[in-house]
Amino acid sequence: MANRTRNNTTKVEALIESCRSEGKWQRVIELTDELKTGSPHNECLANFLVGEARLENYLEEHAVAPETNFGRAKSGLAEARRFLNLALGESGQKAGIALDAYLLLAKLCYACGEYEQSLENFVKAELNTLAEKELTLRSLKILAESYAIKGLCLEQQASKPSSKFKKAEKDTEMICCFERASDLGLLYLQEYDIVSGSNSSSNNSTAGSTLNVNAGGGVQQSSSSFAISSTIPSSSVTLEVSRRMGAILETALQRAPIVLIKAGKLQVAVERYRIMLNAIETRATQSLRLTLARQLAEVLLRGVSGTIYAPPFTTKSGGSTLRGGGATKRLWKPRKYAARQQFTPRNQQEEVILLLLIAEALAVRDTVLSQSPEFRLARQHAMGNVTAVYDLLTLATIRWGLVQLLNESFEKALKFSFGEQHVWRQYALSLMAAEKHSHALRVLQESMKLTPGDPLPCLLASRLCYESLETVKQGLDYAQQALKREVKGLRPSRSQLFVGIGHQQLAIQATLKSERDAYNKLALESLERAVQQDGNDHLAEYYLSLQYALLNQLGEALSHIRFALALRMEHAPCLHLFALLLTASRRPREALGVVEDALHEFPDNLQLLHVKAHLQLNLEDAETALSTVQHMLAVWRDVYEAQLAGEEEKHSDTKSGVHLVHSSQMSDKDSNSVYAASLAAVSRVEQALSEAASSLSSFTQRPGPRRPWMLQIEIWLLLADVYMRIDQPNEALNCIHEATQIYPLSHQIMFMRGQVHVYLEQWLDAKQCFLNAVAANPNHTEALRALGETHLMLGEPRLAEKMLKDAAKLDPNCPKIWQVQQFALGQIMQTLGDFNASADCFATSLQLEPSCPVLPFTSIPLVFE
Amino acid sequence: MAELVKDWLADYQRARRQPAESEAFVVEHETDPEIAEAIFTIFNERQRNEDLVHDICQQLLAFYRAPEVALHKFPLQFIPVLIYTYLHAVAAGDKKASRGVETLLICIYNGEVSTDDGGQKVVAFRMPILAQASVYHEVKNLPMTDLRRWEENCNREVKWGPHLRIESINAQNRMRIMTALLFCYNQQVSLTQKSSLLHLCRVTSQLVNQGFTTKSGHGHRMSYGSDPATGATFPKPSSPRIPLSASFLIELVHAIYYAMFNGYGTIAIQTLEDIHNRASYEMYTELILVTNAVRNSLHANPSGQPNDGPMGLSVALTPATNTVTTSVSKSMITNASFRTKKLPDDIPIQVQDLTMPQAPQQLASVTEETEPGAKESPSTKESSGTRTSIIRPSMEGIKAQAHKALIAGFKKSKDKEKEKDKEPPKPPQRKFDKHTQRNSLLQLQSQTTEDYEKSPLTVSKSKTYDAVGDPQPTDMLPMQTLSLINENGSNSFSIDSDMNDGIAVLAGQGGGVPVSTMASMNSNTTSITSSDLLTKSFDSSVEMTPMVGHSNSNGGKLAEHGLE
Repeated sequence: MANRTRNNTTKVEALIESCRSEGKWQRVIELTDELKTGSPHNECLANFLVGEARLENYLEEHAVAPETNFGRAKSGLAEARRFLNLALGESGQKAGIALDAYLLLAKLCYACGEYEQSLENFVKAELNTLAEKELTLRSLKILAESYAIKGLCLEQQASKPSSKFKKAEKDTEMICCFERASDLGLLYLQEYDIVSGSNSSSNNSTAGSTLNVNAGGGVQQSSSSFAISSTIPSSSVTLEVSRRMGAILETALQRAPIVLIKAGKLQVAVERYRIMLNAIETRATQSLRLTLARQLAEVLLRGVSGTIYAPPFTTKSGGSTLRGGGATKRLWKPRKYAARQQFTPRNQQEEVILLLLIAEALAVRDTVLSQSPEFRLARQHAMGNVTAVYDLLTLATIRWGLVQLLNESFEKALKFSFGEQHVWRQYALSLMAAEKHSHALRVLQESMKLTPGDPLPCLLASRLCYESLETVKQGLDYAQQALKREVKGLRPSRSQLFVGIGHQQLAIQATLKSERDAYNKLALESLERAVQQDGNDHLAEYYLSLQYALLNQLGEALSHIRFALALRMEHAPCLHLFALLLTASRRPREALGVVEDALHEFPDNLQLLHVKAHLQLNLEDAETALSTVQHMLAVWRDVYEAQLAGEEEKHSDTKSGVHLVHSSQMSDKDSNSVYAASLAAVSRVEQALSEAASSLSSFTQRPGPRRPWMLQIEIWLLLADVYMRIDQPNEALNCIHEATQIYPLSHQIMFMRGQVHVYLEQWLDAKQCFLNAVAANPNHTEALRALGETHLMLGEPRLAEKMLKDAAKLDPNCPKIWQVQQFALGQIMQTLGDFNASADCFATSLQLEPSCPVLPFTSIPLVFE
Repeated sequence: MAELVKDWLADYQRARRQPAESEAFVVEHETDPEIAEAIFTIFNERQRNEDLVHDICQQLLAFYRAPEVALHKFPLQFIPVLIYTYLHAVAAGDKKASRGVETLLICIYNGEVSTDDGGQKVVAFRMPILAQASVYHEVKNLPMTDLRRWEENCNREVKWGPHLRIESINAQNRMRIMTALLFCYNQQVSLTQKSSLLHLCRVTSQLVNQGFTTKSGHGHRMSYGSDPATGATFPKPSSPRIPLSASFLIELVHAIYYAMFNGYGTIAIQTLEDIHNRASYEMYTELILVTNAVRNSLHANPSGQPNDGPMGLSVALTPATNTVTTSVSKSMITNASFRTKKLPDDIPIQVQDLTMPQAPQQLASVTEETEPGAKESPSTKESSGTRTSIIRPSMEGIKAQAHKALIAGFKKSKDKEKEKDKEPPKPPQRKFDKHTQRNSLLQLQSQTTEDYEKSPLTVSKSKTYDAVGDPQPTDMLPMQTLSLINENGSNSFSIDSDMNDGIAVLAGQGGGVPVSTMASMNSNTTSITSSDLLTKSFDSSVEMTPMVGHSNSNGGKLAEHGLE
């Protein structure tokens, strides 16, 4: 009989124990009744169990926080306290539960805000003297929480004034408590996962463990809540799991490194973070790990600069990371990650980025996609978590030019970022920075919608349209939109300037005179206004000057470019324009001086070198020009070759190289043509042609971006020009051949080849070349003019006149065209006997001649800085 | 202040002559916090103390070259203020006055970009990838998409430097040099006195704000009337804007960020605003990215404010227990409910294939060869190919009937439960190990042969899948295989978009528990498009089907499956 009761009791005890570890407190109370009836001398144990169950039940329903209503807690916990006190007596000592009872009583006191009493209870429990030994799950949790509570109580006390020495002593004790609490807490959670994993469901047991090192640990679960089990809905798992840890433990785990930082022990704090993150994750620690990873990254970014950084786990290299289980395992330490070929960060950047990548993966997983209002709080919380990680990731990566990485992160984020203006804007910016222009424009459009009052996205879109997408009209629309949004009037000058640039570009593109005049007027107006609104803006002055130059009002242009240069002395496009303006004012020597001075400051500026070569060609002998062009080739190689070879090496300081491309990227715009924007379409045609050619012949497209190669073509053609001046047509042909190697079907190459034929007086060949060039680009005035000339030479004055009229329509300010037309008309008119038209043309030519720059004003690339 | 600095200058001159005193000087210098403060003051009032500035620069240079570490590091804290002094002078066209500062900066730059043995200094780091286990994570516990994403970054090294030594500064290299100097400053910023951070903030504000005062003096407009041809000198604006590059400002933001969390929160936030305004004005996208990020992290964000807790850190408890009630969270869709797969790059081919369904066999073989994702060895590819070809004729006819019936039958999720019982009995397919996996896939494949006839690409895809599901335990497993095993292990399927049909059919025939799982998976798949289904519980791994290609190609059928 007695035996049976004995058995029964043990069974009940085992049952109670498992309920305790699973936190089924109601069931514990029921079972305790059974226990009491089974054997009356278990009275004391029963008291303890009831007290414990009541306490835990209460705490589950009412969160413990320093601000909570202690009074209510006291009354709510009175009964639990009574039971626990009952368990403390003599019999309690005998039953071996007094220790646990004291610890729970301390917890109870903490919940009631009685920190002193709580600490006293810890003293009675002799918490400090406990030896490390194997513990049941429940004891582990009690112990972990006890250390946590003790730490928290000590922290509360520390705020009260006491002697310095005592304070330091208390601080050390508190830190020690928190550290122990975090170790034990993690261990508890790990153990819990193992126990619950082996109990419940075979569904996780198939997970192949890569952690065989953990011999003692048993089968490692693939236990994160995301590894979706087929039976339990994942969200409820997380909920159940987060309850497992409890606020006290979670607080202690996060508190440990913070108190260390407060105590000025930054390195120790970092080490503490590392230890916690190095512990094998459990289902319950998912969100904690996210917080910890983010916080460690924050500490490293905010407080640790490169020189005082110490990489993790170097002191006990290997040993510590592999000490996952087995004999060397310390009982009260959590198990650690251990795998072969683990990545161990060696420096700050590696560690920060690794942490942020992990944090990102964790945070992104928890983001809420449901848009219904009842999830708003959860959604915002998750969103806050994930944007915090993105912000840190931005900070950590942009510096190293890792925009691509960021880009991908934001792309993933779009899924759960409906209506989140911050994410959309950052995505747009990252796309722009990664030079994915048309994609960026799309995202910017969305960003505009999300922030209706902010002009910035409109301005960015406008710039994209002008600079990279060649859609000036669209860009102008955005600029005007931005202007409308400048209600606060912070800096409307930028929007105003962009409106001006748009009008200017449209004027350049326009083929109808009336249209062009209208745009020119608008451009002038808005640029004048931009200059008025921001008197210190060199860019506005520059564009105003350019506008005057295009209108052939050179005096105004010169005075404004001087203002621009006064505002910013070292601005390559300003200097460029200044030099061209000087050549247009018949002061080419001064222009050469300006260019040479400018090249002292910008030795690698191919634009300026180009002007210099042209000036030298006209002013000095061709030999110096030749050396300049050769220098250009060398510069090209220095600047772009590395970039083209190592496309992937787009980081940190090669970034400067990239920026260089950026500033001169428009330079593949035909420097001999006025029609900058329409050229984009043309060059697209050319590209298509070249691709077709490459598929047909053995021609292979050069690797890398097109712009640098286009620049090289330009240099080769310039060189060809120079060679013709020094009467070496064969060399010129060689140059053209080189250019053809890069890009066979460029109209510029065709034009230049025609020029060589002209030089060699092979008129029919020349005509064919010019016809080709005009076919590829009908707006290429130089080719049209040359074609007219050739027609003239071939005795076809009517055709010549037609071509020249076309050219003059496109570019009425070029004296050369008028000059040739005069000849053409002269020849025609000779037969008709009307010389007036011819004389008019000549007059126009003479009038324009002095104000013609050595290169067209439009040869200066668009600039935004 | 000036007296203090003069004494300091004189002391060092004396100390240098007598080595015995030099040591004492170093010790004394290290403990004296006032001298740095005095130097900052002199720089602030540099117009009045031009000679002194020059002397200070010389002495700092001497310090920088000194063997004693304490002296060597001392000038570094002045880098921001030196840069400002220099750039201000350059912008004002007064380069001559800043020669001393310029020389000092060049020397520090050359010193910082070189290693001690005269080589070029490179700061490099390996790009971490999640696909490799680290001390902080295990591969198997992270979503597959995250792992795959970083494959291409594997072993990539990110570098700062090497930088060439320079002899002179010109407009072209100026910002690059200043950026490098600031980078070096940032590397050591935690060694400098905290008080120097205050000057950093102040100087930064001046750098970015100069010339941007709202009151724009139109004084220089007066000279409009003057004859431009004479090239008369133009009056300069009193404080011109200082040209700054994006990367330079990014380094500044990092310095400011450090100051923000090390005691100078308020002023640093103000400075950050200044930088942000400048960034928006100049439209430096990368810089705006960074300033936006920092600004956003400062308000309404778990990252915390500079003044709550050390370094803005505070305890952030999971609110899940308190705010979200159980019933709510059950129907909530989180990102974990989905897994995305990247679309194959050859979508157009698929569409094209569909337009000519009469030649599937031939096309299938073509796509198989060009399939980039296929990581199988030639031998396995071959075998898988023959396997299909053997199976196809035999299984096709048998299964076709049942298959059609299943498709027709599963229209609604309610029906599913009933249908489950009527299905032809089949051995349970749930417990796959590596070997049965292959077999089941084989079956699966055979059952979907009918689909293959319609979309040949699927054939090739499934072949790939099949081949991959055949892992060699001894080999280093390719990513796809890994993912397969892992997903299999947690008993949840990640359905490849192209596997969708196949698994649905398998589920239909499998019977028992798996059916519900699978079916719910499929319902989730469609719920992306049909919003009314969104409130369903998403308990298992849900594959977000790539929308574009699939809905085009066999969208109709997909919908049928999805509605099961």
